[in-house]
Amino acid sequence: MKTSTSDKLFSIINGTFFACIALLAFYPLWHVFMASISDPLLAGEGGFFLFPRGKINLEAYRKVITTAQIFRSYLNTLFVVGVGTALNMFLTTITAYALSKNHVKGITFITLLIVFTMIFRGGMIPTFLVVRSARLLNSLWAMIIPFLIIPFNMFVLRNFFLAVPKSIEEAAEIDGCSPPRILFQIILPLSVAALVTITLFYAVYHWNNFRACMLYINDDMKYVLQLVLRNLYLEGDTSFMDDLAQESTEMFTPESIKMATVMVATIPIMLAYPFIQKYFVKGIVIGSLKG
Amino acid sequence: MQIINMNHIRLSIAKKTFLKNKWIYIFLAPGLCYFIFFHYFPMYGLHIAFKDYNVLSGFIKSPWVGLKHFRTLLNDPMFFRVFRNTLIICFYKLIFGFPLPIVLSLFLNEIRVLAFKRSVQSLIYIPHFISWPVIGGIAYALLSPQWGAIAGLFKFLNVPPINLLISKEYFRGILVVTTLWKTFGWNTIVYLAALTTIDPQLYEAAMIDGAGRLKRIWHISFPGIMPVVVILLLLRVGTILDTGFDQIMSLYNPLVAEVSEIFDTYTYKIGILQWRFSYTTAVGLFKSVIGLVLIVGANSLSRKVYKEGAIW
Repeated sequence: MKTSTSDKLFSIINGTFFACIALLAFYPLWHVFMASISDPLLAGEGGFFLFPRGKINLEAYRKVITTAQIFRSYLNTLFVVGVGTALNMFLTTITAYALSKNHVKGITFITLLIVFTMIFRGGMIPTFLVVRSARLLNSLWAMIIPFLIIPFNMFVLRNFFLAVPKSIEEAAEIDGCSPPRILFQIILPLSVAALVTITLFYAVYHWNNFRACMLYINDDMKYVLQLVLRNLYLEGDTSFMDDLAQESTEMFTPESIKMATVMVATIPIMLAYPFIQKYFVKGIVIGSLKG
Repeated sequence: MQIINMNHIRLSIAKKTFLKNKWIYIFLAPGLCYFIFFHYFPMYGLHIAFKDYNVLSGFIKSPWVGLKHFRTLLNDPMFFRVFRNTLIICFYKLIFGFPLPIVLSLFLNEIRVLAFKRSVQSLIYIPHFISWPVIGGIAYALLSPQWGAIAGLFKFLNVPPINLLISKEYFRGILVVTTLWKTFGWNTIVYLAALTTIDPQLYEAAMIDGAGRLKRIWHISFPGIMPVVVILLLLRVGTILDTGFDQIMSLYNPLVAEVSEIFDTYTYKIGILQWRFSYTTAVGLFKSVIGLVLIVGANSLSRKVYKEGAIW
């Protein structure tokens, strides 16, 4: 096919435009990363970076990783992500499977009940009081139990299950397979892409969740990493790290600490990103089009 | 002989069906309990907006006070400020944030070099996975007038540095821009996925008829994703008042409270931190009702204008 000059011009402009857009999307995080490994004095002068300034300085990371408060909050976060996601996946999968059986009595009604919760909610205070009555306040479980099933994720899985050909299930039934076995041994192996996608959605959700921590937890020993990070740069107080100052061989500043903490709070997500990528676009296509 | 066999078969089919259904209900039970306890029970708890809730009496025994809290609300100047801020901020986000991904997806779809297209896609939705506290940290790194990226820009332009993060004039802008940055990639990909469902023959026919790229975008791509656009717009309008809590709590400082206090942050401050439960539930209820009105209104509007787009 012949491409006219206006077509070529369009492609060039379009391509350049999107190269800029992609750069804009990526640069802010890159900047923080570069700042966190740069020489703190040079980094503190301000300006845009593409590469680390001065000698690479990992002192800020060393400080951050060895600071008890941050280390502890990392463990808390890992607990919430691990246990939370496991519970999420178990409950979401069985609920989604059940809801995919439209012909069973009451299923459509329950589906509507759940859809309704996506539109209307009790609100921050009544939910807080309910969480309180469940005695979850000040416990890490308050970051897990009130979020056991996220309706959007469940509907994505449900739609996926709906797409599995009935003949497979029927064949299994005739062979005398019980529903739990059908689900776990037949349907799930077929749904790996969807399952991985939803697992990642939940994991990222828990990793980034700081609102539940702020609302329901007072004990700073139980704070989650994101909340500690936020308190760190909003209050600007890095003095809790000064007691380790004598041990450092290299230079660090409050700013470089903040940058390192930002990176530490987001590096796991970045590492998981290639996996997210691999399964993700499929996930969105399934979820949004059927939405 | 034959009749007995039929009954036998019918019974065992019935038994199998019941057993199979039994499992479906068992699977549903925990999820249903979760939704009832953590979603419907709080909806019931909303009625404390009409009571003077105190923690000792609980939901049921707290005394009924009717519209007292709503009257307080209407006389509270802080409430109106919060209402105004919420509407303005959400409105700005909608106006600037909604069209952009649509436009981007239409043009991104035109990129022919697949490797480039995929790389762009991968890069633009990274911000979606970044939490607001991290974005807050990034914002400080970029916008701090002394040591941030922007400090270099001020020096270069020889302009006195402004701290965008604590200025009342610019803070709402920062909220909009950061929200845009975080969400445009994900939304663009959603529309891009919708674009892939358009029949390629339409494009071929148009090309044969001599339609250039821009014409093809306007006459085929854009109408092709309208249903998705409308549905997403409706959903956005419905949840519009909910957005911003995480963001504002991550970028907040007292100097900008006046322009950035929204319903949810206000509810947090005087509800959770000051225990004024009933009053803030009234505020929350007010907000939910407005949200409901918005989504019902938008749905009816969409039904009149564009039938296939409405949710109900």
